[in-house]
Amino acid sequence: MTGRGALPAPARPGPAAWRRTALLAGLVAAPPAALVLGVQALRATEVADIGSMGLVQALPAQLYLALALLTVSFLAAVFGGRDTRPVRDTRPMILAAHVVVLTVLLHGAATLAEPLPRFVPAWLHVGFTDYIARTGETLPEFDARFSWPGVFAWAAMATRAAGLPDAMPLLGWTPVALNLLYAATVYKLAGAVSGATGAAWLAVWLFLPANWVGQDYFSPQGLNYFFYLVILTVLVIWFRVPRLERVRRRLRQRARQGHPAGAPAPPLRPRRLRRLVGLPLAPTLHEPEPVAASPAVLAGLMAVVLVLFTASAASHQLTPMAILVSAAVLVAIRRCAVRALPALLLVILLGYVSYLTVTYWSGHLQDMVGSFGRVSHTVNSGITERVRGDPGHLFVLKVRQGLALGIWALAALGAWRCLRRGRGDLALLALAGAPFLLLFAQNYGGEVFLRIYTFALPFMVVLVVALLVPAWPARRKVLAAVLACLLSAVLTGGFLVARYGNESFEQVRADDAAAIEWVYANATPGVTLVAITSNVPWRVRDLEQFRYTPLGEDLGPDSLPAIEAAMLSNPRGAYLILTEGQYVWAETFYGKPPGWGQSIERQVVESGRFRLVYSHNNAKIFILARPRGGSR
Amino acid sequence: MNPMNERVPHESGGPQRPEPVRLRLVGPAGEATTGGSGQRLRPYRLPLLLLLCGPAVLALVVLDAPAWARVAPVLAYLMVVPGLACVRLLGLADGGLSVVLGAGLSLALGILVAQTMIYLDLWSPTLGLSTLVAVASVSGLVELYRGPLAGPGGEEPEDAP
Repeated sequence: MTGRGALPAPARPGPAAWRRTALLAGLVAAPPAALVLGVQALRATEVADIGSMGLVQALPAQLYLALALLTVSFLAAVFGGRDTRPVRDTRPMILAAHVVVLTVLLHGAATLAEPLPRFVPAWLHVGFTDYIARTGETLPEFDARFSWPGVFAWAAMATRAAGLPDAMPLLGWTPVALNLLYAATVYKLAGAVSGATGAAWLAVWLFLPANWVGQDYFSPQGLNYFFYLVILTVLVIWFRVPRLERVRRRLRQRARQGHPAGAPAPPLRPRRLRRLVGLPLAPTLHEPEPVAASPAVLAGLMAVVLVLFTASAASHQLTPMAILVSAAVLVAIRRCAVRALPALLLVILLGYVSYLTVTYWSGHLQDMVGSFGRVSHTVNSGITERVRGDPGHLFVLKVRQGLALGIWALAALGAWRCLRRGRGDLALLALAGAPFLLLFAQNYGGEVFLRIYTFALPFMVVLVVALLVPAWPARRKVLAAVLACLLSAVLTGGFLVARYGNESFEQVRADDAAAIEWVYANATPGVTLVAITSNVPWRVRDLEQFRYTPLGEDLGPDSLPAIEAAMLSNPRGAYLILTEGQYVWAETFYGKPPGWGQSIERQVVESGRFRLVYSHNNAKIFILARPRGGSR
Repeated sequence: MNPMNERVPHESGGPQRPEPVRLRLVGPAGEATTGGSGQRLRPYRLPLLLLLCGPAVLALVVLDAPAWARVAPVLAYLMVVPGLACVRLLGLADGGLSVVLGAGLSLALGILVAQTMIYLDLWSPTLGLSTLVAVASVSGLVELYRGPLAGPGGEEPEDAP
């Protein structure tokens, strides 16, 4: 049939439609393609090529190709052209897939590349978990971390309930799982303060490579960082003080000071300074308001905050202090409606420390409060004393410092740009700055700068995004996308150096682990295990049944008389464990001369006073040739 | 005269047929639903799932199922469900944020339960799991029975995640 009754022929898709379809297909295909390419590259990594600059020396070029493909695709999805319906509907899933793949390739890189889970302290935490799972008790006199055993207790319960023999299977993928939790929280936080999905996705994208500090391994601080993020996200979204309420409070305060109601308000900020930095009269005019909620919901949310904080106080020393400081700062600048919150948190914290950590603080009060107010000492131990090691390690340290300072500088510029547009958010600025107050409280074994960087990071990246795109949708998309691409490339490259720069000694070598396994299978309980540095994957099980020298993270006895004395100190006997991981750690981290460990090993062999009982590649175990007691 | 058949004047003045009476259910998450039984039951699906998966996971542990069969369900349950069941009582408008808060609360509750067992000398992973299943089940039952505490917990901005 022809004529008027015929249906019109379907319009042929034009070039624009083809382009949109191709874009959508590319965005969908990029994450799996990058995942396959990246995983193949990481699996093909030659671990033997890891040098003093870490894993980056061994990574194949395909990994960078995968990361580049992923970055370009992600930014195309964030800044892409006009939204057609298929793109709009699938965009969150597509972007989430990009974030998951980036997390796997960055935070799972060592797990994919190396034969065993990395990082000796993580193996020690498996030992803590194993002890609780076996005995249902803690050992606070053995290690300070047992005074805050919450995470180990949870892991012991979870692994036993799940039918696992120990927590070792969780080690490799814990960083990926935790970073996905962090990313989800940062996404919600950034979305709440910026009010734009694009800003939220971009903040997550920058957060993942900027989070190079590596506190996300199987550890109390890894989980507590998630608590920190959740608590502050709840406070920022629901517990802000509404603008109207702030104005009322200010007026009441002025009335109390004797100013008549109609009198003009005195200038609240120094005008000259404001003009000098180019800020408008009301730089926080468009500050976000709290999300409306009923009193019952707010009470429920506050209960969630208090439960999370109690769990944090029971499982980590530093994180509850960071939460407390941030909450106190929010209250001080009138950005938290619950003014009693800091006092409440302080009571919980002091209650826990006073009653349940007595074994620790009764002998270590000086460690806990000794650095209070000693900022210069904290700065020295956090920066000056940590800058040591061989040239490769020093380069890694410089990259870390550069990344931290770069993020802080860009965030400061972002804050300035927001304030200039009247979009400053005082809560966000305060939360980015509050962790620096920890300098007055603790040096935390010289790690306080790393922790400050980590605690401030989520808020810093939101400010960095505000520098790139101050208001969404971006007006100059191409420029913003190019700048975001450059920044992402710098952060991703920097991440691989900064995060895995210590991989020469933070990897756990199969030979080292096999030697320790041999000791646990053959040694009589009660003997001493001696090593020349503490970088040994020991104490991973039965930790109460053996004695260890050195016990903390340190160098051990490194001369023949000292080694002999350490071994003779236990009448039940002792084993001397010499492994490559110890030598590399001493040379790279402590700057010992090349060949330092091998020289000690040669002296041990040539002295005739030790007998070799185990040898496999670079791992050797000795006992005294004429021991006084029971080692076999 | 049957008063039900009486025509009532409309505000505009003209006669108007009465609105047909339609069943209106308020689901546990505060969503109003009308229509078929499948749609009406939709808001109950998740709380029912949260309620039922607790005993299922507990059964895997009590019956000592092999590790490969229970690792994923037990760990996923411990990491998400107890807290999510509690957070859903708040009726937050943002589902993603509920999951984030739920995961945080689940882990925090797990820590407190495990540590309490140590201090009370009652160490038993099965007891700990049972306690968390009880918390999730009570929350699930409360949600099914009375709905969220006080309606939606917040409006999202148009372009916010």
